[in-house]
Amino acid sequence: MSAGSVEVVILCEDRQQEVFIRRFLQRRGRERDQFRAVISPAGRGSGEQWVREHFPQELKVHRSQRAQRNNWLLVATDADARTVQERLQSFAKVCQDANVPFREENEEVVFVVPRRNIETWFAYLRGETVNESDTYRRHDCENDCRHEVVRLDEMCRRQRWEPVPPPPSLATACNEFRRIAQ
Amino acid sequence: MVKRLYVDNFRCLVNFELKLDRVNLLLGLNGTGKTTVFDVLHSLQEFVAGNAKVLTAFPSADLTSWQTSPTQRFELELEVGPASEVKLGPASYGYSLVIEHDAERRKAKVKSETLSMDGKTLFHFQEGTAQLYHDDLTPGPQYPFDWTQSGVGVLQPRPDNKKLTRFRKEMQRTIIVGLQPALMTSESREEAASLSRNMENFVSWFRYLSQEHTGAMLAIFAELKHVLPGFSACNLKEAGEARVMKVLFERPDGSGRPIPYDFNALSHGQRVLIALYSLLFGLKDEGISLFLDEPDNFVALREIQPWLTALTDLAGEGIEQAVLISHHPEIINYLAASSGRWFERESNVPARVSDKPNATVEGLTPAETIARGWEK
Repeated sequence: MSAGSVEVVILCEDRQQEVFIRRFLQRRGRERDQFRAVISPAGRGSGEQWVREHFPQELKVHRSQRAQRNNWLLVATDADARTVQERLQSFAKVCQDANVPFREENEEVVFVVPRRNIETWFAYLRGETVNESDTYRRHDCENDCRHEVVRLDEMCRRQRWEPVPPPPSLATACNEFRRIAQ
Repeated sequence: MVKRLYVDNFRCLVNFELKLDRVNLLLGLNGTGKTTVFDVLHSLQEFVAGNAKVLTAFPSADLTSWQTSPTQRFELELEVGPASEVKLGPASYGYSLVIEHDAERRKAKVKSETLSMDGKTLFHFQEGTAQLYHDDLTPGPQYPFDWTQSGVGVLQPRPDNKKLTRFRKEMQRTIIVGLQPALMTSESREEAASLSRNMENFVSWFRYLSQEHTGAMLAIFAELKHVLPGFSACNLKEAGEARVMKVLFERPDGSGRPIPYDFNALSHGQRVLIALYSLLFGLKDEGISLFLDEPDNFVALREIQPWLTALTDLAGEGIEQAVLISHHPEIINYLAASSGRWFERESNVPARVSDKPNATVEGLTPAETIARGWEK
């Protein structure tokens, strides 16, 4: 029987990132069977290096399929104490070392880099005033981010942040999300 | 060893041809016809070697639902090695069966049935008349025969029909099973020389092994000692008129007599492991062909590859042929590239199979490629 092929590969550090991003994109029109999660086996706290090291290979695989499929590679990694730009530079560096050209302009590759981490975004989406340096509480269960997914979707649809300003890393990620959402 | 199977008008198999090697992995999404292939072989086996009537082995409900033709066709090519006990060399058999259904009247009849060896006819039935040929290929008797059963299946072994009856024996040597541990009972009322489709009668078959292939027991136990921590042996204990299978495990300190557990007291995974290793080592010199539907079910990740390598090592060296259906990444990554048969099917159209995927992706394992649906 026919089942659709995967269109969005999510390369990420942990299941919390995957659940939040996938649910958000499902609300924006993508179907559950379009996703394939590639999650660091190390899990929370030590996944950044794993994601970075696996990126060039996934990028090569992604490009090898570009002619046949409408596929996207979405990379999610926490900025932690770095800036979003510094994180992107670290991905560019690992590509350079692997002799793989980094993301080209308008290429179907998306970076989602929460700073400090995804809990910063969750706190903001709950209505708290946040900064990107402090740490905020984690959900007990990854599935508990439903409310935050709905809030982000609403803000994207209205194109209005509340409260203002949003965390800069979230505003940056939304520009990326716009490219991949259907 | 089954070399080729052709099926027309059986569920999703329409004008369908499958060629097989010594080791094969049938791959594909659910509903693409993999298990249906096993069902066809099982029906042919029941019909030719199990005395099943045509409508029992091939009920009209199995006609392809979107077709109107009442005719089903089956062709089977079987390659067999030398058989010293009947002084016959290697041979290639061709078997074909055409069935005509009358679904409204719930009737079916054999329109034709033919068996040949190395291209020479041994038996031919058509329009109610059977023609038998002797082993020296001279024509034997011609006689009216029943439309509802296999003419190849009913002939008694005689000195001049060894070639024909050998085909039937080869069909009997084919084991086509899925493993359903919840349905396996501890108790055996009598020995069973063959396994039921879901291995419900595993203990009765094991009882048969223990009587007819006593040497194999030691081989099975030796393997299981590596697989099941503390495993010692299995025995069949009398319980009234029946026998109950007990599995003995050593005590943790190794002292005293092993502790017997009822087979049904074991976990599903433990039962499956005992069954899987019994399949491999119980008849390993008998030249059996094994058709196993998802043998990885219930088995732990660590346990899959050792069993798989045992199976592939035995293929051609005791086990004539291995045909697996699996969705498990361990099995897919091990066998897909060398032995994959890739099934495909869109809704309400026939199944198709090829020996290569439509696409491979450099940098991804076969299982990961399939998980992304990128093999299409």
